[in-house]
Amino acid sequence: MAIARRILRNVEEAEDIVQETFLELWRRAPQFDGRRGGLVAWIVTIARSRAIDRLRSCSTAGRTIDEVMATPEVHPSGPPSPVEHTERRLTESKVAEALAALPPEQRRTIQLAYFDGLSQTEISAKTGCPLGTVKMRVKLAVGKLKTLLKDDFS
Amino acid sequence: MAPAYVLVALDDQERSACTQHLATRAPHHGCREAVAAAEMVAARLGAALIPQRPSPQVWREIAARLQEDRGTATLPDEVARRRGLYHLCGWLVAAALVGVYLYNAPLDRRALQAKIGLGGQVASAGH
Repeated sequence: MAIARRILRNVEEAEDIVQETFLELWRRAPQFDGRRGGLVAWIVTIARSRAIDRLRSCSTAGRTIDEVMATPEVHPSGPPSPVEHTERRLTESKVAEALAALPPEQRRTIQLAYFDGLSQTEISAKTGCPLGTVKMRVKLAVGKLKTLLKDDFS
Repeated sequence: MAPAYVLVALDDQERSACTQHLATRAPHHGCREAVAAAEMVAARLGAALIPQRPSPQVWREIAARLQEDRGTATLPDEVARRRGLYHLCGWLVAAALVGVYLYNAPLDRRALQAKIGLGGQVASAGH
């Protein structure tokens, strides 16, 4: 739910997305391919796509960069088990380290694209960078993340 | 373009063009591999956020809607076809077992009779 809330900035809408995501999972269960990142990853991918679709259809993407960057991180409503907590912390730290290893402008581009659901055109308009530069940053950042998170995939 | 496609960072027009291209059987020069690699990265990025649980009401609504869905759900073609094949195989195996049993039954009876006859001879020899 965190990704939907982060993108939509609204608890009720994020909960709607959670519902839609689980219904879609139910209907598309035969299409699940575990080699492409596991079940949680699949759920996150579906939830994120749904949230972005809603964001763009509602034209709420008119947020300013400051708004986007200033939104506080969401917090869990219930405590995880110790094992869950440890696994989560490990994954979180690996991803955080990988993101931190990116050059600042690439990291910012990925934050705006992935965590805030902005398109490359929107990123270009909001940051004032040429569209070609934004495209190149996305490409380079994903390439680097792929290398940095390689061990995690295996 | 694959990373932007996977991150849903393309504009609608580009995005649908990519989706259509990936769905075609036209020669792909590493497109699908590039998309798969980017998907792996995107799948991991979600882990950077602090997880958050939706309210219990959301789970209740999901359960109710799934229940409704189950009533009207139809199986996807491939699953239905495979399930039909399993049923057919099951019936064929059952029919084969019945056939083998019926074929062997008279032989078993003759073998039993022969054994009983032999047993009778042994018994009479003992007396």
